[in-house]
Amino acid sequence: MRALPGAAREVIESSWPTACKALSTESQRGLLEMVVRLVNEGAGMAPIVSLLRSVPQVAREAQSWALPAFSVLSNAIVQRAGPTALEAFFDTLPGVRHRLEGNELLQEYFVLVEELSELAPAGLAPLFTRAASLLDQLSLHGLRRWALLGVQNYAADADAQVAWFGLDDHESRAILRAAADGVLLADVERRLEFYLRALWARELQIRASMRARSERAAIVDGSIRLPPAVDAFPREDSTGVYRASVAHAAAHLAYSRSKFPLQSLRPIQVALVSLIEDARVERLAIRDMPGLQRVWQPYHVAMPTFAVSAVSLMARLARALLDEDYVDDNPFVLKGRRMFARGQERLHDAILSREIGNLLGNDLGQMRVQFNFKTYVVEPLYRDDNMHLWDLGDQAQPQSDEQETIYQAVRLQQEEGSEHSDAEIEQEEGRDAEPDRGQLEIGANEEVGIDERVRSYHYDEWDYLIALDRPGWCTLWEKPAPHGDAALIDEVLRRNDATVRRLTSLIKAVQMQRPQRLRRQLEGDRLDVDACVRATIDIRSGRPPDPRVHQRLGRNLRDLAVLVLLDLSQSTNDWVPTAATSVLNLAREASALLAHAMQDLGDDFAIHGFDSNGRHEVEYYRFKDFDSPYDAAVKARLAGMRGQLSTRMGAALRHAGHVLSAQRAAHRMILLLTDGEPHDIDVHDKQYLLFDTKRAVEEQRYAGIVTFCLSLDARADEYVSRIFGARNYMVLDQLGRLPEKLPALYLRLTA
Amino acid sequence: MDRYPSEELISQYEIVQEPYYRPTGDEIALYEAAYAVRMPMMLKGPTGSGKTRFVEYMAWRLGKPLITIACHEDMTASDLVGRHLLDAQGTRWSDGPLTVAVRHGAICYLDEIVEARQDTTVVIHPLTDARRVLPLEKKGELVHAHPDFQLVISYNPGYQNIMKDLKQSTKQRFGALDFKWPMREVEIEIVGHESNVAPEIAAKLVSIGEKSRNLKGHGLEEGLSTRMLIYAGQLIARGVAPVAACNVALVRPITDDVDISDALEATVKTFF
Repeated sequence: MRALPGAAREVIESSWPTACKALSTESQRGLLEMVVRLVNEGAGMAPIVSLLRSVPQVAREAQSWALPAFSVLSNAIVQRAGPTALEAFFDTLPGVRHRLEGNELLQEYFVLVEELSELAPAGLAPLFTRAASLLDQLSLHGLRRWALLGVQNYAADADAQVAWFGLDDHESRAILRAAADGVLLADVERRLEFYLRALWARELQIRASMRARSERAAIVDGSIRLPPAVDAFPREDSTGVYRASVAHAAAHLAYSRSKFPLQSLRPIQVALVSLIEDARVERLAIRDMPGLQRVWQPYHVAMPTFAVSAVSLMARLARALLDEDYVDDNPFVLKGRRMFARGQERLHDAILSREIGNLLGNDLGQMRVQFNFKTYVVEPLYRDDNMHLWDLGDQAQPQSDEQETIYQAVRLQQEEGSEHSDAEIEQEEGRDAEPDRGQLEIGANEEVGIDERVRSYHYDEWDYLIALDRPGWCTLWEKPAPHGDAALIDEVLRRNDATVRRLTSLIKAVQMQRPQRLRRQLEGDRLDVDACVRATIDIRSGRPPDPRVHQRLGRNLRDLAVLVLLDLSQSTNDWVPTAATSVLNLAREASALLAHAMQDLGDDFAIHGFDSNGRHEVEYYRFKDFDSPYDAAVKARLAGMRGQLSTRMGAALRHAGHVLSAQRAAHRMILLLTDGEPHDIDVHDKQYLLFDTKRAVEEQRYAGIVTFCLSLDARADEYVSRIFGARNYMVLDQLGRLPEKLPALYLRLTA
Repeated sequence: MDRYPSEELISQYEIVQEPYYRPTGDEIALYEAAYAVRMPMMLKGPTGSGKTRFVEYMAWRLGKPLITIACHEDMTASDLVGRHLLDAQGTRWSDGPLTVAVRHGAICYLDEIVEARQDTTVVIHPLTDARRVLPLEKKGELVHAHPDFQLVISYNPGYQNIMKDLKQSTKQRFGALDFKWPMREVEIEIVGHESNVAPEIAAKLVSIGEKSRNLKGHGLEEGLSTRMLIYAGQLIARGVAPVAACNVALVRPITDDVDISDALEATVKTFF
C-alpha cells in the first residue's frame, strides 16, 4: 500500500472497510493485490473505484477460485480493451451475477469475456453495458452464440464490432431475437447434414450467408447458403424452415442438371420457368420420398381470396402444383395445373419447365398485372432464389433493360459466392495475425539446444505408373519443433475439463477390463480346475502331482506402442466456424487430451508431425518421443505447433514406421490425423501420391505395424479407404468434436 | 472306457422345421457345392444380414444337426474341445461342443469368431485341412472327423478393433460367402414375411433402411440391419403406430447422438 501514489491511497483507504466486510483475510489480500496491479498498469482510478464497489460482493458469494480468476481476467481486459471497458465490466458485474445462477455459469461468463477480449476487444464496452438486459432475454449459451456470430462476421472490423455489440446493427438485433426464441443455423447445421446425407447420399455444404440482404437461400457452387437465424416455424420441427430449404436445394442439385440459357427471355418468364422448375424437382423428390410433401406444404399459404397480382398468382400456382387438394378457380392457375399434369411423363426432362414457364410467362405478361423483378422474391420462403438455374451465356451484354435486372441479380449472386470465399480467406489471415499464443521463443530453444539438430533421411517413393520404387527419391528432415508456451496445454486440459473427466472414467474402465487369467500358478486366489483334475488323476495313478493348481487374475497387460502422426500442412490453418478456431488448434487440443489419456494408461506413445515442400524437403517434427516423459518441454512443443506447406504422406509414414520399428511391443500402430489427401507442390498427378501412400501403408503392414487414419475431410471416403483399407479409417464429421473424439477412438481401437 | 454322448444329445441340435430363408444370389448352390467337399466356410457380413439364418437353413436342407457356439474373449480351447470333470467315481471326460460335432457329423458354427483369442482359434486348424482330425491332448485321443462334419465360422468386418483380426493362416483355410444387404425387392419380401406386415409397409421400412445405410461411416457404424426392420414391422403388425414403432425399433437402438436421432426421425417421417 505504501508504494502507491497518495491520491490513489486515499480513495482506496476510504472505500476499503466497506469492501472488505465479511471477506476472509486471504481474499482481502487477493483483492489488494489486484488493486495494486491495476494501479501499476496505469488503469486510472475509475476502474478501481468500480472494482471496490462491485467485486467484493461477488467474490463473497463465489468461492475461492473467483478472486484469482478476476485478477487474470481484469488484466486481460485492461490490456486488450482499455480501462473504460474494465470499468464497465466491474460496474455491471453484480447485475450479471444476479442473473447467472451458480458458479459454473459465472465461470463460463468469464471464459466468454476472455475470448471476446481477444477476438473482439472493441465490442467489450458496449457488451458490458448491455450484458444484464441481454441475460434477461437469453441464456448464457444464447448470449455466447450471438457474440461469437458477431465475431465471425466482423473479425477484423472494429467499428462493425462496436455496432454489433451495441445492437446498432440490424442483423445483430435479428440474431438476438432468433437466439431468444428462434432457430440458429449453427445449432441445427449438424443434424441437417446428417439428414441430407441419409436422404440424398451426398455431402452438401451448408453455409451461413454473410449478408443481411440475402433473404432467400441460395445455391452457390454446390453448397447452400442459408440465413444464420430464422423464426421457429413450425413449432413441431426443431429445425424450423431450414429443413424445408435444404431439402428443396437438395432436390435441385439432384434433378436440375443443366442451366437454362437466358437468351431473350423476359423477367416474368424467368420467374415462371424457375417456378415450374421448382415444382418439377419437388414432384420428382416426392415420388421417391413421399413424406417430403409434408415438409414443404406448411409454407404454401396462398389463398384464392388474395388480391390479383403477379406475385400472388404465382404463389397460388406454386401451391396448386404441390398440393392436389388445393382448390383454385383462377384460369391462370388452372391452366398451369393442366399443363403440368399433362407433362407428367416428361417430368425428368427440364425442358418441360422451360416450355410451360415460357407460355405462362407470356400469359401473365399479357394480363398486364404488375410485376417488378427488382423487388421480386421467390415464394414460399423456403425456396432458394433460383439464380443458379440460369446461364448468362456468351453474351456479356443484356439485350434490354429488363434483362439488365436479371443479369445484375445473377452477377450479384456470383459475386456473393466469391465474396464469401474472399471473406473467409480474410478471416483465415485474420486468424493468423491473431496474437498467437504459440510464439516462437528462440531463447528457450537454444537452452534445450544440443539434441535438437537437424537430421536427414532418404526414402524411396513408389511410382505407380512404372510400378517401381524410385530409390532415395525423398529427403526427410527431422527438425526441432519450435517451442510455445506450455501453459497453453494446461489451459487446454482445464478448458476441456468435462472431456478429461469422461476420458478418465473410460480409461479406468479399460484398465479394469478383462484382466488376464493366469493359470497353473503355485499360488492364487482360486483353484484352476483343469490343473486340479490333472493333479487328482496323477494322484490316483500313483504319480507325483504338479503343485501348480491355482489361478489368479493378473493385471491387464497392454503391450502397445502408438505413434500419433499429425498432418501439419497449410490447410490446417483453415477456420472451423462451429468451433471458433482453426483445424490446427483442434488438432493440438486433441493431441494434448490424447497424450494425457495415454499417459494415464501407461501406454508407450509418441507424437510427431510432418509437412512437405517438394520431395527434397519433407519436414518431420518430434513433439514427444517414446522414451521421453510427457513433461513441460513436450507441452511447450505441442503449443508451438504450426501449420504450413503440403502433405507428402508416404515419406512421413515410412519414417514413422522406421521410428516405431525400434519399439519392442506386441502391437504397434501409427494413428494418422489428417485433414485432406496427400499432395505436394512438385506432383501434378493426383493419383501418384495416393498410390505411394497406399504402398507405404502396405510396407508398414509387412513390418507388423498397423496404420489407422482419422480424416477430417468430409470427402475422404473417395480415397481414404483405398489407401488405408476399409477397416482402418474413420471420417470425423464434426471437426469441433475432434478433441473429444480422438482419445475415445484411441481407447476403442486399443481395447 | 469312454462313454460317447447318446443320440438324444445330438438330436436336440437337429433342425426340424424349415427356417425361412430368402436367397439373395447363388449362395445356396455355392454352399451345397462347398459342403459336398466338406470345405470349411466363412460367412462375412454386417450384423443382422442373415448369416445365422442361412446356416440354419442349410443345415435343415442338408439334413444335418447344427451346433452353434457363440465366441467371446474368455473362451479357452477347453471350452471348445472338452475337459475332464470330477464326479463321485473320479474323473470323466466331457466332450465340448466342437468335439460333439466332429464325432457326430454335425455342422459346427462358430459365431463371431474374431472375438475369441487367437490361441483358442488355432484349435480348429487340424480340422480345416485334409487331415480332418481333432487332437484331444488332455485325453490322449485323436478324433477323426465324421464324414458329415463341416466347420462354419462367421465374421463381421467392421473396424471395432483393428488389433483383433483373424490370422492369415486361419483365413486361408476357408471358403467365404459375402452377406450384404439384399436387393430392395428381396429385402421387402423378407421383411414382409418375417414381420407379417403388408407389402407397402415393408417397402417403406426398407426405404428407411436404405437411407440409413447412407450414414454408414458418417455418424453411424452400420446402417439399419434387416433384422431391425423386421422388429419394426412386427410392432406395426401388432397395431403400434408406424412412427412410434420405428422410434423404438430403429432410431433409439442405433444411436445416442442427438443430431443423428433427429435426422433418422425425419427420415422415418419422410416415408410414414
